[in-house]
Amino acid sequence: MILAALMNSESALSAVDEATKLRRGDPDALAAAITRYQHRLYRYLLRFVGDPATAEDLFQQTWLHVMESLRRYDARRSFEAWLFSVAHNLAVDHLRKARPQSLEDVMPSGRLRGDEFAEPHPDALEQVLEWERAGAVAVALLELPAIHREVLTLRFEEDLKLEQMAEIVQVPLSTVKSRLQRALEGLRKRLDSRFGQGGNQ
Amino acid sequence: MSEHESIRELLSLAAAGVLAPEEQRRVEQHAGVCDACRRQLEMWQRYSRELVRLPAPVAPKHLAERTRARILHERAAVADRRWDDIVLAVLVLFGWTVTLVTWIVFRLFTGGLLSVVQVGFVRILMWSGASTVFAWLTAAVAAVMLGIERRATRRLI
Repeated sequence: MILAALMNSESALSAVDEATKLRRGDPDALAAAITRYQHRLYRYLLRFVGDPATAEDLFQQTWLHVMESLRRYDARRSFEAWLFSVAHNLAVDHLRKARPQSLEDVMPSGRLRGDEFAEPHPDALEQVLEWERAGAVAVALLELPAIHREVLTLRFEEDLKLEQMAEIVQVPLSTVKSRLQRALEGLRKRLDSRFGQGGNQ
Repeated sequence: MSEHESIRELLSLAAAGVLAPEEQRRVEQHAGVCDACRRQLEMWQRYSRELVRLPAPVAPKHLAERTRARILHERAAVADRRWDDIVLAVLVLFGWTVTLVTWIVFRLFTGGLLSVVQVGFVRILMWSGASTVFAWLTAAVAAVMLGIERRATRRLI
């Protein structure tokens, strides 16, 4: 308990420290912050918008925006949550411009970017089976509406709590909860239609 | 809604690990005695595991460096704009100073000390018009020269 409290206060301090250094225009702090969050932020944006080139552009825009509005950053907030909420707003703006109908629209089934998802694995057969299954989940994920993809990646890939997700997505806790439920239901339906009841192959 | 039905609605969230401890306990207790719910819970848990294990796309090589370079470039552009604003303000100040000083010096040379304070509305108007045009022409020439130099610097970068 004491250790957790200490760790929390330490991480809060480091967030403040990080923001202070960035605000001062410290180039090393900037490089360190971008490097630290690069994979997570890029993955979040890629899952959200579904296109690598757009995700890259939004990644850069997110950091530009962060640097511009650092003065308005409230140090009591988690820097990470703030960073992701900036990315969220930019991604939502982009999706609204690209497809003005609705963020809840089903995205046209995209191609599977196998080479980007690839990770080395010792056993070849296991690797193939795992890829097949992971590929099916990844495809099903791509077929979901953007806002559903977003909550799934925040929960399962970023391992965030509902409260943190609500802060990033900027909606009430109950909305995140029901959105997550609908997203899981949508994923199940897609996997069921591919593999039959229970999503088994 | 019966206990079974309300628990059934919570199964996906229980597998996602987002329920409050009390609700989680309720779900697990019910799943312990209800086969249908246990099977459903196991199915949701499998989906959750698969989502966690989803191969993670990594950021493209050099994205961080490119982003950093873009930020530094933007910052340099902002600093340039700020510098331009300062130069413009100085030029305006310089223009007005030149206007005033030229007028005073000219009057001193042509009519002596007293003529500086002598009031002559038409002559003042004429002089202030001529001096203003002169000052602004000076500022415009300086601004054009500054712009040419800035473009040359950018080409080098």
